Amino acid sequence: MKKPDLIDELMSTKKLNAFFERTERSMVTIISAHTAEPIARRSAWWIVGGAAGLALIGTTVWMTLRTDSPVESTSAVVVAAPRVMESTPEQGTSPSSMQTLVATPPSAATRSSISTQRPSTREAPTSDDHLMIGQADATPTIESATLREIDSLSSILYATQEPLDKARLAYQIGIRQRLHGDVDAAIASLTTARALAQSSHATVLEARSLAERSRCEVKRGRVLEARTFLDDAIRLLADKNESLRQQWRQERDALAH
Amino acid sequence: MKDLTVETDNELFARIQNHDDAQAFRVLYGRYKRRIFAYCLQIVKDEESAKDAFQTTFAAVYEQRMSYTPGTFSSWLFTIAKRTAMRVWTDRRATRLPVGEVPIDIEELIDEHDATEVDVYLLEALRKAINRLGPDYKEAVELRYFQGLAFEEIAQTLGISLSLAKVRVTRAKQMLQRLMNLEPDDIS
Repeated sequence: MKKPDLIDELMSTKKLNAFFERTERSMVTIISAHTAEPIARRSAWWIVGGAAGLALIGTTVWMTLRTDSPVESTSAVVVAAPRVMESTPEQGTSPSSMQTLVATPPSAATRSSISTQRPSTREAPTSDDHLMIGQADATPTIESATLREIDSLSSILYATQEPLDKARLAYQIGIRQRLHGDVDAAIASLTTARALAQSSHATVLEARSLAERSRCEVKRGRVLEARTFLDDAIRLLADKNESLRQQWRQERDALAH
Repeated sequence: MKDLTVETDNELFARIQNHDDAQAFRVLYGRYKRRIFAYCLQIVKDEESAKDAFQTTFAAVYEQRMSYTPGTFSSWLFTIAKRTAMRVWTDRRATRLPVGEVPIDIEELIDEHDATEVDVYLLEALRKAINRLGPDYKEAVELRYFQGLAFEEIAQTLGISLSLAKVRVTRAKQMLQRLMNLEPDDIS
């Protein structure tokens, strides 16, 4: 008999199993969206290739049958070829735009599509962002890793159905956006996180979103607003989680000086 | 249809690299999900952050699939998990400070544990947790999970009833879950 695995058994609570299943579904959605794209692209190339082949055969037959000057025949091939090639971008782009609607693979395009999903979640990538993404493959930096993580988490967020999971992911994305200096995007994510947490009756997560929002306000130099958000977070927890409330009280008091 | 569960990690991952095979991903994910979660949990120390690190790890594995060259898949996976969890941990630490930025020396943190040691760190954490159990519970865990005894055999070895043997193992597991920063299911 195979020995039971202690770690497997310890990590098998009902809550965790449900979480593992949800994550698996989200990841499969992301992978399936990737699979659909090359197939659609291959099909598009078959159509284009077939059309080009037919055009070539037609032209050859036409040239053979014609007894006119060879100069005209050559120009006919040249004209036929671009006409066929023009269809390539159209065939190629439609699957990827559809794919963006189904799920979002981690890419710069993902971030912009997420921002259409959740209003103003993230500003349009700046030239600095593109620089960071470009650098990521060569020399990973903390900055580029943070951007990658925002992309990865955004992908999962997009493929996740459960509101509470979405809330948690939006909160995590918000933290990273703030750390990356993208304060407006962070505020949008945290607002989403708070709303979803509120509708899921997840009080602690709602309060954490408020506290994180406060840190964004500090970054903007709006200390009064920051204090208000911390007060709201503390009030929301009422008598729960004393250590968090204590931490936030300290933050609030530090803002007074 | 081919049974993917018999394939090696490298064979499965090659399917993901070459064909974006979601079924192969499911099998690999099933093999490692609990261990990776436990590993993240030992680094970040709270369940919510561990969930964050866990999801980011698997997203990164897929995103970086082309950078993997056949070798020890589990080492590669645990290295990604470690870096991700360390990052989540430092982010958390940063959010706890009131104002301004915190200097993050992530490389220093990563160096604390050798990347090639796979989940030795996790096993060490588990071993420490087991050592904190009372002698009765510790013995029950040792017999069940390290000696691989059935409950009847545990009962015989310890000279206790079958039901008490089961209760000890169950309670020991709940204590270990708490010691490893996981909220156990309600006692049923």
